[in-house]
Amino acid sequence: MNIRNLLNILQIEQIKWLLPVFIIGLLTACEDIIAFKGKEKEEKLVMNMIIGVKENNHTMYIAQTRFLFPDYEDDYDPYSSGSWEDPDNNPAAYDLPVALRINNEKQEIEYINNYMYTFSAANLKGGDKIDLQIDTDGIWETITAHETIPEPPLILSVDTMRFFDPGTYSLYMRTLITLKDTPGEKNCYRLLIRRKLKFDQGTEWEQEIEEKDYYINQDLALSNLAGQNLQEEDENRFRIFPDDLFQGEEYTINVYFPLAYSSTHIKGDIDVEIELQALTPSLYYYMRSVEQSRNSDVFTNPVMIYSNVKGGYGILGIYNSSFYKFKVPTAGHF
Amino acid sequence: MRYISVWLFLFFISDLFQLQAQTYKISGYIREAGSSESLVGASLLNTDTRQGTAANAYGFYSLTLPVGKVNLQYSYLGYEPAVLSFELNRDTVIEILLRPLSTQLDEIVVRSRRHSPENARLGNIYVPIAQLTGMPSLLGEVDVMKSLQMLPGVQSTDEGKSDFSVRGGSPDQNLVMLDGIPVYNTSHVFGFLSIFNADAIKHVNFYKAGYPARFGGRLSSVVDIRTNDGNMERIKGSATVGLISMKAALEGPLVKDKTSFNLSFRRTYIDLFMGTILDRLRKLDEDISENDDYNFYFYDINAKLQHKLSDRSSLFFMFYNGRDKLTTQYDTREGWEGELLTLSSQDWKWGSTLAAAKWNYIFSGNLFLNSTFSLNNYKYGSHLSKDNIPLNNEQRDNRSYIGMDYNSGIMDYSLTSDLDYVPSPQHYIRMGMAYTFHNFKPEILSQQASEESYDPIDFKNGRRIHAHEAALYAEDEWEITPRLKANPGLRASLFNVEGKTYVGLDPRLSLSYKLNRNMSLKAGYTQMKQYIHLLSSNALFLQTDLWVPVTSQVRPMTSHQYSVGAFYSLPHGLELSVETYYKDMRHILEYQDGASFLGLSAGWENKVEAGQGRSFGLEVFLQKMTGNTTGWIGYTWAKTDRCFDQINYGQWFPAKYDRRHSLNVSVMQKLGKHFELSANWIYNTGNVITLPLVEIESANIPDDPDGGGYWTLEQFEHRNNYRLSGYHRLDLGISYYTNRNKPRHSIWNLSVYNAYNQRNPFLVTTDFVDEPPYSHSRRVLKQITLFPIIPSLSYTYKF
Repeated sequence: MNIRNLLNILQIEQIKWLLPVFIIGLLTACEDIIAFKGKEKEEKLVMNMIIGVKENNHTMYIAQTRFLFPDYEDDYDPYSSGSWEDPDNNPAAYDLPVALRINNEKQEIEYINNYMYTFSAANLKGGDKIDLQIDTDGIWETITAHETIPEPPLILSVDTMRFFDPGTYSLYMRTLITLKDTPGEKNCYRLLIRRKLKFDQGTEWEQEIEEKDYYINQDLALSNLAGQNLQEEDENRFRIFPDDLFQGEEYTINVYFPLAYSSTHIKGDIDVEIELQALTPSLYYYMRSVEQSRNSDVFTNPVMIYSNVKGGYGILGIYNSSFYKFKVPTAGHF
Repeated sequence: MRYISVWLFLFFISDLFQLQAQTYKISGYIREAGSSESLVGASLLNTDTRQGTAANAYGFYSLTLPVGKVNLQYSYLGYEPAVLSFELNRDTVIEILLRPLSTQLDEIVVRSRRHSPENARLGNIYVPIAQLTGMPSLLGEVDVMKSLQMLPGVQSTDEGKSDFSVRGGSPDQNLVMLDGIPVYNTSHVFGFLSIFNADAIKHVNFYKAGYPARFGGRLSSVVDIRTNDGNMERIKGSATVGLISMKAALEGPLVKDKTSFNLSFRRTYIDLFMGTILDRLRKLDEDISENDDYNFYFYDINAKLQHKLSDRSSLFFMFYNGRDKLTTQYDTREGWEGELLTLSSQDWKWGSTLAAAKWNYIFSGNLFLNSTFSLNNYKYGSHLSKDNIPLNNEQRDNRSYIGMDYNSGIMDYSLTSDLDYVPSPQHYIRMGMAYTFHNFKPEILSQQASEESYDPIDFKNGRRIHAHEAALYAEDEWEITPRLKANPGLRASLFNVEGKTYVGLDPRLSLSYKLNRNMSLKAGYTQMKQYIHLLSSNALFLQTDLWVPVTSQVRPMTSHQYSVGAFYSLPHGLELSVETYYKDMRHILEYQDGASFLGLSAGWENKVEAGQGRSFGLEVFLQKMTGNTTGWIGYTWAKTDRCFDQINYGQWFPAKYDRRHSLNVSVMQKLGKHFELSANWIYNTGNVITLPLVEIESANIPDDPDGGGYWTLEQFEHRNNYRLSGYHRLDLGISYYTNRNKPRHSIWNLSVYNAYNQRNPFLVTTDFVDEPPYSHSRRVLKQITLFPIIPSLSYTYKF
């Protein structure tokens, strides 16, 4: 639309002499595609490994960064679908010389495929030191990572109380989990609660459901993620929390979860398993940054993904779990 | 304590020399001839002894001199100096009237106060408002806040915005005061225009270093704006029509030489034509319905009343009220045949109301008191609603409505008392107290809903926070020797909120040493404290300013600034100043990674991280003050960065306002009696933004609530890692004056903003394009330019 047409539309003779400049000024705000300035970022290795101490086999993934603003000379896109993953296209990123030591003892690492590596370690325990290094003689920047396995968390007690919500016609379990934090060190935790239900739909058909979702409406420690409102339960979906609020003390976590939505379909007892993980602080920061990046939008600050891998990106994370299991009888409660 | 002891010792030593001769006081007011308007900062000099003083914010001066013949020179920028010789043999009161140099050509626009023994202040800049009208401006609106952005060390936050960063500080660290009352909301039109109507303003004093102890509460700068008191002798006025607003001003005596008033009003007028514009647009575009409505306006009113109770005593009443309002309404239709009409409306309004009563009293020729009681009410409110209207008859009873009101603001009640005491020509002592009761309304949220099947909902959430802020201060402009002047000061402050009390003791010191007639060296140290924070998202077009007090978790911000400068008077009216500074800021706030600017303020402490900042730089300012050609060149080399434990792995990163080079050139050329040409050219190193540059694979996190697997994550090396292209712009202006020397005259002003249409970035985002010759989608940077070349015209009639 040109100015003359716009004036005809407006038909405001009195301010015709004034409007063009106003319209030019306010309506011609424009968008331009601009060139990326600066050097293309050198590719680095991305090493990810999260070790569960109770597991025997552990998997490591080594990939490479991909620059987001490549200046293509032609139609070739090295990162277009599939091509960057192909070892034939980029052999430098595969079957790398990974040196892994546990308490200074070298471990056998097996290269599986593309960018997956495994190793076995059955007797890991709190206090063990894990050191990782990948030195490719200059092909890639050497990366290193070091971590110490945390001690398993100490669950002092678990108290439960069932309640029925007539609004949703659901049976809930309020659970008070008391843990003892180790004094004098930074500890981070993750809480997982699982339930197993068996349904009987009036026939022989049965189904098992594993449920991890549970609710936190009063617990300050679990809600204390950056930028989180206490009422917004969905912003701490990994259910992680540091010991900032109870350093070295006992702390009781207050959560509740649905046992079942209808009694008529429940068969037998409900199995509940509480898993409390002690996380390395690096893993806590990594999970926090991953969740924040998933929740980001135009109104949030960009999120830097945490890394403890020097010379590259990624995470060497370790968690050590303690479990508490109990059964909830359902008969006679509805 | 040692600092105070040394000060007192030197104080008495220097006064011993004064006791040797009998002295008398010369005091009074320095005013403008023809209006009796007080001239803030006008100077008085005994030309024989080179002893002098300056008028305070009410035009009052006091100078104590030995008995005998005195030769006094009263002077003020843009006014004819007045010379007075007489035999001083008793305390003398002189009210001096200076005549404006309206026909002279030696005007300037913005100038730093001339270095001289009369001024010991570092980083202090005086802005004469009368000369701003000739400068080119965005949309033809003369803006005192934007004129400050042309000075070294001061940078605009974003393209076209009126708020600014001073020496690496954030905009909320600037203490902006209107007649001594702190202003929380300083802008109209989402920050593009300041609330200060140039017609109402008499005087602006800007401090970026060496803050006197009488100012406190912010870290980075002080903007002291004083409004006109009103003409005591005759009715004067002006009316201006600009591109987006109209304004009018009227001042005059209610009782000649006793009571005067000053009134000015400004309002946008585009909303008056918006209905017609929408009607025409509806005919072109079927998507614009009868229910669609978009409108915006702002207005501001400044009023002042001055009454002389006696020769010793005066009363002032001032009032300011300003509002912005944006309204949008649109409809949508749902259902197979559009049988459900939804009317959505959104209203935003914000603004301030300030009111004050001031009382001046001269106890004796060298003791002046000003007491002020003031109210300051800043409000922000928005209303969002949806009205679902079934259009078919069967469902008509199922109409439902949901609405939400969001309000925030601050109400301050303040009492201040300031005492000026001039015991001798060597000392000008100021002391005083201030108390403010803050009533914060961080966020009040209410919702209303009505549905047939549910009970109506109407609830309110939110709480008020009350805080007490008090301060005591004392400072002395002290001539230690004819070459060495100092301004030591001390400010004690207290802030009490929700059972927590913070106290602060902030020393200030400015030194000036005159090497010779044309050169002086200056140095300063200031410590500042700030007890309130601004949670703000000025990005985009959101107006979400939210002021909150310190809490038990979030401590007051503090800063220490060290400055050193040299000042030269060069031939041909040129002056050169070079200043360097280092500023250290502690407990400053930054939003954490992933923290949302939106959302309730409850728990806002969890969204921010307290850390430290540092700024250092070099500023060069060359200005020409006389002749047909005037102007200045300002250059700044600066660096500012931040460090927070939980942000950027605890490493330092460039602050949002980190710009290495800034160059401002401003020139005004007089062509005869009728024309003035002006030009500004600005260059700034580009802004920094946080831009992910690489993609990485995520770890496979066990028991991932989002399903696990490998996510692609975007990563950057550090916060604010990417610097945009440099910003540069040329503005041109031409003013035509008719009968400039007569009371009744008119001014045409044509401005061209961004004359060579440089596309400067206002916002940069990432996007994907899929265009030849590439067969695949590729990521690109997309720049939004807000203001291309914008001509504007204004007409002013004065009488």
